Amino acid sequence: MKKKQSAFFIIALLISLIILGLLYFNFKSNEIPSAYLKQGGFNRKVLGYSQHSLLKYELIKGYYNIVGISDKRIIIHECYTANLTILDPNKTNTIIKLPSEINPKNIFAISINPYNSSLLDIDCGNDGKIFTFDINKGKLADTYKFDFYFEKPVRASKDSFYCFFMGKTENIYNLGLVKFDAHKKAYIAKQSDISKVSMTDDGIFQKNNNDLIYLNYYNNNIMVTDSSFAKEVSYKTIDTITTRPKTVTLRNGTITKFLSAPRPVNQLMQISNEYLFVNSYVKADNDDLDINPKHPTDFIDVYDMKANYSYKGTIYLDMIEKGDRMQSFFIQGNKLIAQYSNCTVVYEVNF
Amino acid sequence: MLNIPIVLLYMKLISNYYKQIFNFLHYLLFALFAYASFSKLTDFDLFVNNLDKSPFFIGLNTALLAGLLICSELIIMLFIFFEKTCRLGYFLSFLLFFLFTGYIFLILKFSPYIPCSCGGLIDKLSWVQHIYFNILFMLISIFLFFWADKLQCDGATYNKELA
Repeated sequence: MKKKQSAFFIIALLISLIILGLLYFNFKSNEIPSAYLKQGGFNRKVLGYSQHSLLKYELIKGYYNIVGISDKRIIIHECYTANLTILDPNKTNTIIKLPSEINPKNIFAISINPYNSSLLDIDCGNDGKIFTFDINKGKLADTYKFDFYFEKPVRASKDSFYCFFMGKTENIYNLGLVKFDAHKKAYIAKQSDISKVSMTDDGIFQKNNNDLIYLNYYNNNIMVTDSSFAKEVSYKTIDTITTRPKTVTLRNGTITKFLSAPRPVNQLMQISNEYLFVNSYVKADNDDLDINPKHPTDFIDVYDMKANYSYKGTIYLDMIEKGDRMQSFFIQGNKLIAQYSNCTVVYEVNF
Repeated sequence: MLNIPIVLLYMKLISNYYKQIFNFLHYLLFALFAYASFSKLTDFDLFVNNLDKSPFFIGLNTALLAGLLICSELIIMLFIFFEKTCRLGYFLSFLLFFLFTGYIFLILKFSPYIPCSCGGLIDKLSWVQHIYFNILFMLISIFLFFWADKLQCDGATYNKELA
């Protein structure tokens, strides 16, 4: 090869590498921050610190979501795979494969059926289906079909779900009650006036007795309504972020995207014993995370639902591995289960 | 064990058919770029949507990126087609496959989730299969680049063959 050609070849390869480097830089700069958001303007009070660890299950490094507890067994799902891991109290792990009818890449969420703890509700919104999987028999028990797009289904009864579905415009989703006909095909039984804007109002939706609770990912808003959708009440988490991320709509409204990567404020939520537990990503003025070398990696803010969602205090969890943030958590009674990339830790919390 | 007479036979066969092999690889590469660019063009929104899902394009104008990518694929296709620019076409094809392979490597190594791949027939391939596919076409591009050099790619070679 001639010298001129060689030089051209090397320069072109270098340019390609620079392009790849820029893509990587863009990815890193938009990654969920390893440091906490430093909004400030509020203080936390300690409700618990260095919790007593009861059990620790070692796992292969991955991305896991805690499904729940069924018959004293902890069920976790390895995201984007068909693997359900059952953690027994005697510290043995069993892996169950989800059936092939379920595309693991389309699983949005898995939860334990509140009416039968051996059944799991598997939300595959992109496939327009909710599967019910019998964990003891290892096979599908039911398939609920939707011919409209839905988000964040929560069981309302044995044969109905609360969920958000597309409203008058593509980016508005209304909360409603969905029931099913004899062929398990969904129809909207009741539609509320409660709506959320796609993406900017994204969040976590759960049911507690007669209340439906929606916690926003990107600001401090908690929306609570009753199961008849008669009243809608807003509460605030303790952090001070009230703004919504900015989006841009392209090509006649066919695509909406964030202008910049949104910063998660409230990432995880759980409800237990009339308390609301929120894993916040925002640093308070009195958190000394950067000073204390044994700083905790995760906070769980506790709110008393019976006292108008008033802030009760914060559970601080010790660092498991540097830079490894809690992926999911679950609370039942005084047991707090925290999920990390390579282990599941069971704590006992008392407050 | 290496059977020298068979190797020599193969070499002779290859030397007899090298123009046909060259032509086959040349048009295979041309067809691939034609297919890739037109399939993206016909389902532009899906392609942009897939780029939107990638964690490496957050905050970037993916519609513009998609347009640039389709344009570069069309340009490479045209470069490969025309006699005087075929070598440049092979070289750019190699670079594009190099970029795609690097991008897939980034996805597999760093992305917290694996976004959807491209559309068309190739979407049946997994990301790892895509890497092998890209490496194969990188090799084909670079072989064509050097082969064309040896044949002094003046365009006559494969056009005469066709005639």
